[in-house]
Amino acid sequence: MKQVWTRLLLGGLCIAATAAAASTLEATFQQLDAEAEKALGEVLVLGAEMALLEESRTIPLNNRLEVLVSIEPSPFFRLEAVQLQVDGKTVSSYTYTLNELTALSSGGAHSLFRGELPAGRHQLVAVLLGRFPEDAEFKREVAFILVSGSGPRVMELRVESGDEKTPPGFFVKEWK
Amino acid sequence: MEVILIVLKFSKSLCAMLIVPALCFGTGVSAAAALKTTPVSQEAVAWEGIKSPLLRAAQFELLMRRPVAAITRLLADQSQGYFARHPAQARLVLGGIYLAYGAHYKAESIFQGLTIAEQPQGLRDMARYQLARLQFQRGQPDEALDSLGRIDGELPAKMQQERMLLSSLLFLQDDQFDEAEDNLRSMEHQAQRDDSDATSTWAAYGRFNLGVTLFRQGREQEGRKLLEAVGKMPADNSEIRALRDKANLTLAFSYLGLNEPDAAQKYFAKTRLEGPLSNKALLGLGRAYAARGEYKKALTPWMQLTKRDASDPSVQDGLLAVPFAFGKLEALKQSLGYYQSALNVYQQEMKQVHTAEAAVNNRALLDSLVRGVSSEALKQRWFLADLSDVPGARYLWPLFSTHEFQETLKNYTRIYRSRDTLTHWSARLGSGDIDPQLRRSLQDRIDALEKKLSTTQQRLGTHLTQLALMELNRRKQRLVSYAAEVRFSMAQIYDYAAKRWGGE
Repeated sequence: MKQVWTRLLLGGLCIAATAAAASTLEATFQQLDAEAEKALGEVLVLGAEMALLEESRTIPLNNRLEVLVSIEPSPFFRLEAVQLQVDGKTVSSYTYTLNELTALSSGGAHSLFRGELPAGRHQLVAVLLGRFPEDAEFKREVAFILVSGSGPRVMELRVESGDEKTPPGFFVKEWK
Repeated sequence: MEVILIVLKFSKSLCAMLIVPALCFGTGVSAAAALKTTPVSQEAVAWEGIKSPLLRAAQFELLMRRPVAAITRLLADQSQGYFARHPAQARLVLGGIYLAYGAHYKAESIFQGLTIAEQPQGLRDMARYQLARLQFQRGQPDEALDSLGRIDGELPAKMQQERMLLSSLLFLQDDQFDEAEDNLRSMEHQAQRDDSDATSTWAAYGRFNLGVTLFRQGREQEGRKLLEAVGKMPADNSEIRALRDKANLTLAFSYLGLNEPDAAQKYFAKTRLEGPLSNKALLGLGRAYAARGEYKKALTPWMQLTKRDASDPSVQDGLLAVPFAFGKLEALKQSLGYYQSALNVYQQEMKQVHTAEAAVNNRALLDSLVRGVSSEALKQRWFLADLSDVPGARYLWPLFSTHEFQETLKNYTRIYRSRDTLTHWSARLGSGDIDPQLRRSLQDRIDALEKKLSTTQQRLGTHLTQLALMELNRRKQRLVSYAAEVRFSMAQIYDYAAKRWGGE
């Protein structure tokens, strides 16, 4: 009887999977994974083309403007919202969620505006709203002139960290 | 008895942790198979030094868990020549985003193209590191080691840590223990220098792996010392608590294998009774008592174990262990009673497995899974969380946690949804002011793609069904074996009783 007990306890009761079947399935998996990825990749490429088509229908390339917001992380300043005005008219206003602030603090840039700026000279004003220890309703503006019509323009609005006493800087930079 | 317990960590944010439990219960997957399931997160891109706001806009989308939007954006900007000044950097980012999305082959071809000598060293090194990760995932350790060996300089800090852990795991897999040890020790020194929480968690994983490495090398004392340190670590997060349990359980089973039940008991007792390894710990604790002949004491953890979910293999083992202990205590009536109960449970479980099998065969399981995967969840690596409504799901948990099942289901779900997107695009083409030739060409591509997606989806569905049926078959075989053991033991008891008491 001792033998039985020992067998019961230590037997392990291992059920071996059929190695050949597993190996065939593994090969099928690799093949299917590649096949699915290829098909999904084609969906992504087609999606990008559809997005471009949509954009080209609504925004002529020469008049295209994209304005992006980025921040330098700071323990003293909390960004709340950014507004963009073109010739005195607000074209975009965005209030950031906590998740979005985390993404910005990790180095991401938010596309505040991507659209058409009719050919010609325009005045743009970006308004930054946030909280700073010495000013709970901190507000800064940066104004700049853009001449549109000669190709797509990419502008970055950058919030640079200050410290407890120095308010953050708010700058604009064009990328070419 | 060999004790191997490997924990692999790649991304703290995703709790990316894998275990290869090759304890004594034979239900673990092979180390090589498990190691292939290295998780890849949105951290697949090293963003340091990337200044272009357009690239960082893609990063923003990725950080917001919108990889498709990130890829679409990058492809669109790329096709318009926005990255003409730094095309290689844009490709590296695109490759990383593809990787985060799970498009490994696409990512690989991009990284391969960036490893050529003309590229700047830093960028080349990052591409080689990414390639190594992919090769590791695909079970190509030689190629992965080769890619890592070609990295010329230091990678960005976080990647450098991952690189060292990856190297040590590859060395470990290849039985190059000294090299693995060197890497892990460097990680540990780095952790001490940095004195950061994240790094110390990394170091804890490193220390654990080093302990297991030394064990496998036959340097039990050194290995044990490291595992003991991990088992005693102050745990302020769930990752460390789980790691502590694994270290204690590894030590416990090693002592049990050496026939040192006192020491084994000490470590089993340190494993949490409610954690994911608690069933194994209860079973082992009973074994430690039994090894000392203390069957009455062994009954306490084993009885506790049998009250838990009977689909767990440790619980099923426990159902056999309880009557065994009663038998050793000469309480043959109780022993017979518990054998009978065990048999009832196994039969009940068998019915449930058959129900699950029917759900798999009529695709009800697959439908439930696809419905249950939200768009948000699909962006996670381990995206199957609540499966309470899925028929037979509890028998398929081990399968659900495999890389192969998860990836296949992810592909299936993505294709299922992409087909809806194609329908939407088709409708948009019909409604706008588009050049007729362009419209026709796009519509033709949509039609061809729909056909391809439909075929692939069908094949993926068949594969998922096969995997599920294989897993259920393993379950059935296991239950059949258990039931046979029970009947055999009951017959032995009747036989023993007949000889001793004359057939009462």
